[in-house]
Amino acid sequence: MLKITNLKKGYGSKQILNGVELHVKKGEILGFVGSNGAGKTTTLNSITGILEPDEGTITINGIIKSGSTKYKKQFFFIPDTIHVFKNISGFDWIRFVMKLYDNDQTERMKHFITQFDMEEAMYKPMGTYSYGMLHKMMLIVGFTINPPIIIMDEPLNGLDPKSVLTFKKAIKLYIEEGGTVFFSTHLLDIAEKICNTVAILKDGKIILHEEIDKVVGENTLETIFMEKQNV
Amino acid sequence: MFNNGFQLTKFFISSFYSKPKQPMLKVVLIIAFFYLFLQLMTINIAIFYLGDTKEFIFYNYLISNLLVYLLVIYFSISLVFHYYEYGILTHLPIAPRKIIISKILSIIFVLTVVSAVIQIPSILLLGFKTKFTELIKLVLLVPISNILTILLILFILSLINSFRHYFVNKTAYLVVNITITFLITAMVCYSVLHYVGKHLTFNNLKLDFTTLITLKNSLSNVINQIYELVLKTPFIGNVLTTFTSGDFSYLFVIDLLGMIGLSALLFILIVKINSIHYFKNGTIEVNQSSSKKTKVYHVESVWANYFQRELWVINTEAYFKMQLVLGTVLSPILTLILLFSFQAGWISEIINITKPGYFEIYFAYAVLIMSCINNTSGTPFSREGKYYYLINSLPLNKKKIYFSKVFLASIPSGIAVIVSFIIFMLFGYMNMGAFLMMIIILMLVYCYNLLTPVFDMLNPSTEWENPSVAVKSNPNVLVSLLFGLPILVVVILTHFILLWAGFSIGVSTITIFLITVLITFCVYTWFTKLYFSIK
Repeated sequence: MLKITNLKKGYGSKQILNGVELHVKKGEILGFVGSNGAGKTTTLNSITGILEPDEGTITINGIIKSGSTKYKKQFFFIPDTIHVFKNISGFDWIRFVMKLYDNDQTERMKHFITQFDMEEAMYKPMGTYSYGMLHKMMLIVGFTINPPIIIMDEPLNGLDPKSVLTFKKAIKLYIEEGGTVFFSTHLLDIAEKICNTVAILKDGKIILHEEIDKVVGENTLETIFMEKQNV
Repeated sequence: MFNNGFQLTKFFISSFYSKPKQPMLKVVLIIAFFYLFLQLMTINIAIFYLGDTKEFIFYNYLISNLLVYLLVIYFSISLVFHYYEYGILTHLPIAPRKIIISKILSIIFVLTVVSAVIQIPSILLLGFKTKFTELIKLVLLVPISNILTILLILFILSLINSFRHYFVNKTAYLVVNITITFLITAMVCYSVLHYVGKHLTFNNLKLDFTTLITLKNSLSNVINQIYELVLKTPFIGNVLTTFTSGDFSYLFVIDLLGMIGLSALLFILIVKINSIHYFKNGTIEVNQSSSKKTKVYHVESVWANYFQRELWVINTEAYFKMQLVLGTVLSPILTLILLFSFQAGWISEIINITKPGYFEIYFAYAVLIMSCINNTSGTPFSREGKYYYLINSLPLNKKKIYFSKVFLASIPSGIAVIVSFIIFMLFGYMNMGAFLMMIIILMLVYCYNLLTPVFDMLNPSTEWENPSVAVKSNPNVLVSLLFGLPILVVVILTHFILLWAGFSIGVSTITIFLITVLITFCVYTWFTKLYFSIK
């Protein structure tokens, strides 16, 4: 599904990614973990076209990364800091994105709007949304348009407990429908419960990418992560 | 897909304004809009009754294009070439060409609507008195000429934007943009003044204030002479004749089609130029933001640390730095233009300054207005943006924060005032009176900077993503003027009343100096001793 080869990226003299190699298969729910500054967001931004990597190749569904709409229709990205047109309602935004993905599924959209308790907010300008509401709105968009892979940067930040539960259910449904999830997180206990694979990024390189059951065994993901960080 | 393009244009249009939350701001904005509308309507009506229909149509083109020209310069730098939408749209499956088309259509739509609203009284007036053909010409040509003006400016700025990746940082890029637009304006002004100066003596343009009838006749004469002169301009005169005449000719159709064709060509070129570099420029924007580094000076003084904090806030956005640079250089540049014009005899012929000592006073107050106009002291708390909460949550001294903001605003204004007076001196005008006026202006600028941040401190507008929204597009700017301007107006009026009452230049200047010292002392004491104690 998603293949990253020898991804390198630096800012000035500081090298962030030192040759990331990753192959995410269809149906995976990959938890992408790493310390602060390890390069998680840089990796996600490089995949989604926000940043141009210095070296390396990225392909999704066999399509090489470019600025083309064909490549971008393969994924939907939910960034950590969500930028929006502040005077536009969430509803207008979802309709707009659905058309971009040629995927007008009004009933499905209504279902997720209800599930995430956003019925009233959807008609208000997005500039009035809280941090959590913006995340919920983006999750509704992502699960509604149903792209081959959903990429998320810290998607659980700002979500209330009910929304976290809805998020888990939505992911399950999405995977059953043939989707793939790739998300970064610091919440290792939740990653352990939701994900079926985990990848650990350290010093700009993937040091582990394995099925979660095989990695954890008798331990917890937290213990394994700390071991890998040599703490 | 067309529908989506329309939607995106609508989204961009919605970004041109932000609805203020405070009722006071809403009221001020409504008053400001109606004030502008009424002023332009008054000018239109005055020209309608003073000149003939042809002149009326000509001045309508002129006023609406001038307004559109000023607005397009502002919006193109702060919105069209800002890439504020990059984080929203870049990961979505939408081609850069469509983003650029929507952005350009949005600016064309907003500015032609603003211009059209201002045209409503003109159209009503023409409807009463004139032929159908003239009315149709006005309705057709004002938006078409406005669009051409917008596209011409966007084209020039697009060319600069295509070299965006060569600029070391965003501040340099913004300063170049501003400089180029300023140079274009200066070149146009110079060409017009040069042409008018060559063909028309300014004595003929003087207004006669003796009676209302003489004033009306002299105004009518000025309007007519400028119009007749423009008609004699090669090419422009021919085009204008077909546009303002009361009939339809084949030349009119050719001119109209020419304008539409040129606009279409510019539109295509702008889209092409900007689409090619969209991802490259957007990525540069993200990269430059990610690698931003701010110097930290280890200083003992508490005040120095507070001031350093203000510099960090300025350093967060290139737009803020550019405003600071502009605040410092604009006044000296305008001073140079003013003094050159004065030496060329353009200004002295229009406003007859024969009495000794008057020019120094006019100049000093012109510097005061120029320094305060581009001053960013009205929105220092909004500039803090998402970090504003730190002011309340950290054990910071609010009085020190306030005064460090006032200090930061006063430094560039102070430099601007002093440099302007040095230029004044180099032109050979400096004397003791002018020196005293400089001290007065410095104190008034400080007073202005003390008063203008008050509203922003109480109602900061911190939820912005585009830094221009925090500074110039911030409605707090208008309210800050209500706080700062009255003192300036009172002092300037008092000065001229004293002169009118027969006081000598020396006595009136010393009196104003003493009044300014008193005002500055009172305002400063109010803030240091009372205001923050009450709070």
